[in-house]
Amino acid sequence: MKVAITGGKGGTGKSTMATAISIVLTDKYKVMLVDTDVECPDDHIILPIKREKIKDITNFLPKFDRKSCIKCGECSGICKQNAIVYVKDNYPILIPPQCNGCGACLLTCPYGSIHKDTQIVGSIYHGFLDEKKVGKQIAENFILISGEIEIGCESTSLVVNATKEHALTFQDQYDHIIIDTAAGTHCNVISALMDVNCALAVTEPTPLGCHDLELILLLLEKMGIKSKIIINRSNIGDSNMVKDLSKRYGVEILAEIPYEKSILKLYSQGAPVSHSKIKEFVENWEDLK
Amino acid sequence: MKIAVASTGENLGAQVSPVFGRCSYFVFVNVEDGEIKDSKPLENPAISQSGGAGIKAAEIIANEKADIVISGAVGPNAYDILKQFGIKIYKIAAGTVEHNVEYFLKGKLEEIQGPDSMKQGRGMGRGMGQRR
Repeated sequence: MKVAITGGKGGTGKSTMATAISIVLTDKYKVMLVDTDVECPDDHIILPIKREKIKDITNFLPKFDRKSCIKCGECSGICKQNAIVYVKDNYPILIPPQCNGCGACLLTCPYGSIHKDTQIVGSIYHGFLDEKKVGKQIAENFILISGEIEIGCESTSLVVNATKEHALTFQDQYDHIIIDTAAGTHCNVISALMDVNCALAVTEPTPLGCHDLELILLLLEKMGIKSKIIINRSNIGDSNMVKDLSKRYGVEILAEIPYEKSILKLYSQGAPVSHSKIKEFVENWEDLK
Repeated sequence: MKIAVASTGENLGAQVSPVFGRCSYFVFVNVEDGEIKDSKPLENPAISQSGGAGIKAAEIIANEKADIVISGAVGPNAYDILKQFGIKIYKIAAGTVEHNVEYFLKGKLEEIQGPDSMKQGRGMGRGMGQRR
């Protein structure tokens, strides 16, 4: 079963929740945690994990053949990313970090002067828990698949898709897959949410938390994904705002996790966060199907 | 000598713009023997680009064969393009396009030697509004 942890607003505790849920599940199941917040993956920092790079993710990049190029500038004209600069009577200039690899220039060039090259847009990592810190059974039942974008590159959803595709090639070996998404509702979050059985929207009871929660609930509704709400730091702000949204969108509140010193303590020690309220709903994880 | 000034309006009396890629107009000012000869405004088409506005703006300036740009901070991509075409960048002072050209001619403007440290200029393209 694939469950996504999302929520709209940043800093509400998506990764904290994703890692905590994963650790509770490892008690009985084999768990794969997929960190798709490729711009700043941090599940390996929250948990005592050592990551190993498995492979690079590459994408198409145009390569200009100056022998046949007649400096017409059509490649630059078609490029919506402004990755190709054309100044009259000059060869086109490529700005690689702008290129999203769409290949329009390759198809447009009337003289076949553009060839296929590649650039590295990100990398995929496998992460394993430190056995000494979490115990043998938990370490053996857990794997982290983490995608990380190359600095300066903007093709986030491409890296998310490649990370997910890689992770799903050995999904059969795991009972539960937890997908930790980035904040927001943009394309890389959409890519991360594709094909999940259920999405848990982690929010905080603040006006901004609720504003962004509404956006993600609308997105999940549009994508036809079953969803539930987790209120984190439930004892700050005003939980009624979240409850109103819950009613309006008919999305159940799965749990309310309070803001407690014990949680912060574990977090700052680099240990998995644990709380009775988290254990409570993870007990009935299969019901999310 | 042709000077491109990032501007909020079309003529010499318009206030200069602190942003480069998404300024409203570029005013191209021709200078001969230390005096302003004429000027020509160009509406900046890069203003509505979803991304890479600075790149597009630099391309426009290079195509106009300007020798000098007077602007606020310039991002790294735009800076590299302007440099490749030997176009020098000078930092704006408060005031109008005309004032800034005069300041430049009197040697009072500072040459920008490197790109602004912000990675992507001041653009708000690519759905930035939905990000964290």
